[in-house]
Amino acid sequence: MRYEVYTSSAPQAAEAAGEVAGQIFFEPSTVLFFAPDNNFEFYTKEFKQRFQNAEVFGVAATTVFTQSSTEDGCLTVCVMDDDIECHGGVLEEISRYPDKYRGRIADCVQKLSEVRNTVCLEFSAAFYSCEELVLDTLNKELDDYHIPVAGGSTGIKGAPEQNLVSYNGVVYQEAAVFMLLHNKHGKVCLYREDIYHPTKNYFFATEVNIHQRKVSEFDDRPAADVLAEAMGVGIDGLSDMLLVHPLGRQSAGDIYMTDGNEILPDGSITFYASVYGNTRMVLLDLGDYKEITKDTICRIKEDVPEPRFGIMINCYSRTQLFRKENYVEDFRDAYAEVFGNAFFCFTGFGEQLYHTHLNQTLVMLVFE
Amino acid sequence: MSKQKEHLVFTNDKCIGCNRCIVACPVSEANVSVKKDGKNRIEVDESKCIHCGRCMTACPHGAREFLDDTAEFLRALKSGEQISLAVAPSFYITYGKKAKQILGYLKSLGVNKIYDVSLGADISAWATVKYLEEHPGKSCYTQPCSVVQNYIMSYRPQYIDRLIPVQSPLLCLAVYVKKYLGDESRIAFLSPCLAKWDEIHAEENAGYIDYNVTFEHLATQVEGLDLSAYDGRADVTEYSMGGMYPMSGGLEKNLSLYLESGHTLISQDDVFDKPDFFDRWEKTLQKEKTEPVVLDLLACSSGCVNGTAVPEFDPVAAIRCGKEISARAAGRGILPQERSENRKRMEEYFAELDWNDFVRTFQEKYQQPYRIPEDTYQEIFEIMHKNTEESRHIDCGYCGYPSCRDMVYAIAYGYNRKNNCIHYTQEENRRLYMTDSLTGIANREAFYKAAKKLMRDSPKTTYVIGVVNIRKFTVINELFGYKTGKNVLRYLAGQLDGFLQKDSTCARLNSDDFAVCLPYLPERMDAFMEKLNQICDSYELEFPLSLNVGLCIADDTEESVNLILDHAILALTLVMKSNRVDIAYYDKSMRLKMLREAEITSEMQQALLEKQFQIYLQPQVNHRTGELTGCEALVRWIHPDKGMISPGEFIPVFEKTGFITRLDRFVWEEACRVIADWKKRGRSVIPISVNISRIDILELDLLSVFTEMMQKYGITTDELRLEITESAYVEQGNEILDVVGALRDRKFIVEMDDFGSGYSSLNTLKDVPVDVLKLDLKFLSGGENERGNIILKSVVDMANRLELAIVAEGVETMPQADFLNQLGCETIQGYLYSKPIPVADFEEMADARKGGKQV
Repeated sequence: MRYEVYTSSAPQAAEAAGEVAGQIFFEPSTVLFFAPDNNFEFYTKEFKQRFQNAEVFGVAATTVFTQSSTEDGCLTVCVMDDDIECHGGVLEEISRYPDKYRGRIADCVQKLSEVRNTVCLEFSAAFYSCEELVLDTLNKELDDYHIPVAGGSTGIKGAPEQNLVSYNGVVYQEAAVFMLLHNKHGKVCLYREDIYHPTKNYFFATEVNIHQRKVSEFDDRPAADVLAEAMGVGIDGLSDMLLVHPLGRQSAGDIYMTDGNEILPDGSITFYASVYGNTRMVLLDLGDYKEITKDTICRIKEDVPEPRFGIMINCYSRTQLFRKENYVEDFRDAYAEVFGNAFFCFTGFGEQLYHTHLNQTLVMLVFE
Repeated sequence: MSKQKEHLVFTNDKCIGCNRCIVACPVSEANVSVKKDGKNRIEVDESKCIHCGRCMTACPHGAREFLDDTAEFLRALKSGEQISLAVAPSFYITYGKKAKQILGYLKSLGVNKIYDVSLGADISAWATVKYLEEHPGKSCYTQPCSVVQNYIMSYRPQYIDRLIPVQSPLLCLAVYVKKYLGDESRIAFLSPCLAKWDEIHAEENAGYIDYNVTFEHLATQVEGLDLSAYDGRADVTEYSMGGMYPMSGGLEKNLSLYLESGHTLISQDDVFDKPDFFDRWEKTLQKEKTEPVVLDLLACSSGCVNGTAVPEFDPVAAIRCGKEISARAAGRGILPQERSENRKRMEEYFAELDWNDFVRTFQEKYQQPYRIPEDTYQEIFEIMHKNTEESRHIDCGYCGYPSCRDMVYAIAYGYNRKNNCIHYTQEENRRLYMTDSLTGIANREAFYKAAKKLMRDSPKTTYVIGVVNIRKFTVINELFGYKTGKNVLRYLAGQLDGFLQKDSTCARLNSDDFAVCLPYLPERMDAFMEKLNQICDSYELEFPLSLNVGLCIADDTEESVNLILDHAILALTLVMKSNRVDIAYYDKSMRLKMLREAEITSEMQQALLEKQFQIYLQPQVNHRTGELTGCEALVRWIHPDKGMISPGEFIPVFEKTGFITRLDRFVWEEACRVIADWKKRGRSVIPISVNISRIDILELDLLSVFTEMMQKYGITTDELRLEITESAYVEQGNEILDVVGALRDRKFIVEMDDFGSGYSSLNTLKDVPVDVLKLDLKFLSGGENERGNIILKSVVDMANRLELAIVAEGVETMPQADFLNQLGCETIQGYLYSKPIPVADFEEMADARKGGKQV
């Protein structure tokens, strides 16, 4: 059973690809690479060329932590042998009509030897406001088989056209790659970690636009006014406060975090996730993230005493916070202690788990 | 780049938010409920609207309008631009003879050529037949209707493949005119349809047609003009029966002249009138294996002749025109039964045309909707107070949506608001009406209903209704502010509401009063009391929170909740206020007492005016000599009907109402009058003591009052003595000192009444200037109690040493009097000598005791 992660910070793409490939001494059945967008096409073709029999997925990303690196701009490659059965594909036109490609998901399900102990890992191009549609499409097909979905929003901040994915040698824009991963040797556990906790400030989103991810009114008043009041700042100071105070969407007793994006002149606020009308939202405060990390690791160890492999999707905002607090290395080391080399932590601009698109969250897949 | 119009269909100021547009619209999310300036309105989401115009027909308020290019066309024409007209066949049907006049008028404005779109329809029929013959087994939808195109491209992309990829008659004509006739003019389409704007300005059709000039807007431009002199005719007209295209079944009639592919032709107009039209037809088409179908789909009822921009539809004119078109076609040898021949002739007629010039593709514009999670549905239903299956399936349609679930979907999606649900609004208003706005718990009205229901539903259970009052709530407000006061109220409300079970209820009645109704069972009452204590203990405030509770057991089923609550309120007035939480139970005697008090209050003013009050005098006798040394004036109420009313009954009521001050003044004045009368009659004046209450001290300028009275009646200060009760000294302290000091300065004799009843310290005696101590034997219990006697002896001794005169009150027996005399207290007042008696009787007594012992 082999799950390995390699990193190269070589400036030249060919050199980086060679450096990584040179360390892989088995025939992987699945290759998942993360690379910055400037050489993405090269890597896409290169890895498919090198691993013709594998399912090769590419995700444009700047920051991926591994046991050996927390640097930005590296090439990170994860390879798995056929102990993880993998069938994948691409959903295209994800901002408009990913359901058109739902048949590709069905095809992959049909190819699976078994649906038990299977998870769907997906990476969607960020900043297309599409993650909910991708999740809807995936879950529509996978719910009947009880295959859960987890994933992240990939790419480079603020530049949707650079947010690329690839599958088997072809680069796609405005797309999502998905892979059904069946663990032949045990279960796959999914985790979600929030480092924020609710305050006493609750509001109802009384006027929204789902497509634009906009809340125009909280409690029948301009959204910006209500939040500014709750945070004790003027409208001018609200942007800065939103950077450190995400909001939580309450549903079915749980809180799903979302980051504020932009404050519009009419007092509306856009977010990085859709807010449904009349959703109850709560202002959040930062908790003790170090303790929370310890708790998460305890939970993992309790559920999966012998974890073989971990895939982590960490929000960009969390990564920035950890960098600011000089906690990145400790964070990485804590998980390296659990997984050894067999993990990577992808930094993205949104996280997906089950049916919900999230922000400011850590989503984790742990393979037994 | 295609031209964009911000709002082709829009809402004007006449909208009242009646939701009829939502009912009529095939795409519910195209209508967005907004609130502007406090008013509800439904606006158009242009990105979702298919421009079918059904909302304009449905709106009785004229609140929906549309835009077109009429104004730009006329401006361009007047500025000298070369523009040709493409005239829709329905133009002639709509305007009849006037059609040529309008065309003539437009010619006079500078229109270049006039082309009849009927020819375009013939070309479109030719191209369609070719396509169908090449796809014999395929069921298809026709494509001329822009609204149907919009709908399929945006909402039913799975049916795009069924659309026949041939241009509409308008675009076929435009291609023909531009490419085959070489007309380089811009082209304006005289159009029955606002949705044609989309087709005209679509990116793939750019350069063919420039203006969508609708009949409706053109009609307003030419209204009032004299067009009788104008005559304009088309330069290019129909080949066959293309003029029938805009009629319901018109395309079917056209294609049937030529089609031999085996397709069944079916016309369907007003397709959006039927819900799920396309999906239902698709099921049918899937089942139908033998013969393929061509569905001629039109959005408007009766076809384009009744289009969205046609001012008025004349069905008779349509039928007549149809017959004329058929006749003309027959005149050219195009006969319905001659398909083969017709086909051959059409091919010959259009031999120069390249079929590929008249094909088109349809752009998929579908936007996948978001799935709303089931949890969100549940949460919104709950917010809308729809907590039962029944309430979630009312499906009344007032909101414009077919079902409650559709409305919830719209709310979640953001294009409608819960306030547009009439049932939510009704329930919300009901709750507001029944809810106390400060605390969020039920209000008085709701309490009545809830308590009544509880008692009715459980007739075997005895309930108790209580009123919980926050003691000294005004002090809390004054010390800590009204915000804190409100927090206390909210806290108490929340605690009560959270504590009570389903078989109980509570409400806020007013200010700081709360009502509760719960089963009258020992364990429940114990728990309730414990909870109230816990509430008092747990609230953090620098002022002890304490509660009064008045309770009434609802054991009389005839009594209303209202009345039981009143009883509980009455009981509240009797709470002792000594513990953190004090309770009092109502009993029937309270009501009698309350009634009695009300009676006294209602009669007291009149009693004073009618001189029903009299002063009685109780003698003060020197026990040693038997001489009358003074008397105390006490008021008696001699009611003409009820006889004497005890002071114990009316004095507390007068004190409560504040009437006591007036009564006291009466007593003082009466006493002065009696003294003056004695003097006038030459009698000896026996000093009269009058009582002064705490309220008199606070509210009156006693010095002025008494000085005036003395002057009025010619009395001296040793003839009228002023009694102030000891408790007044204790409670009013410094104020009393000032008042008493001023009185004594004027030589008034001041007596401290009821000494021993209050909680005065010896310091009080030291500081308070009095002349006489009146000892109340009730408190000093002289005679029977040895300890009491010792205290009494000390008090008398102390008074003597302070050179204070002493009067012992309440002396009833000779031993008491003897004992007091021995101690040095000679002046006795009490039943031993006399109860308070009328003045006349007192005078008799005084005469009898003149000079000493009683005779």
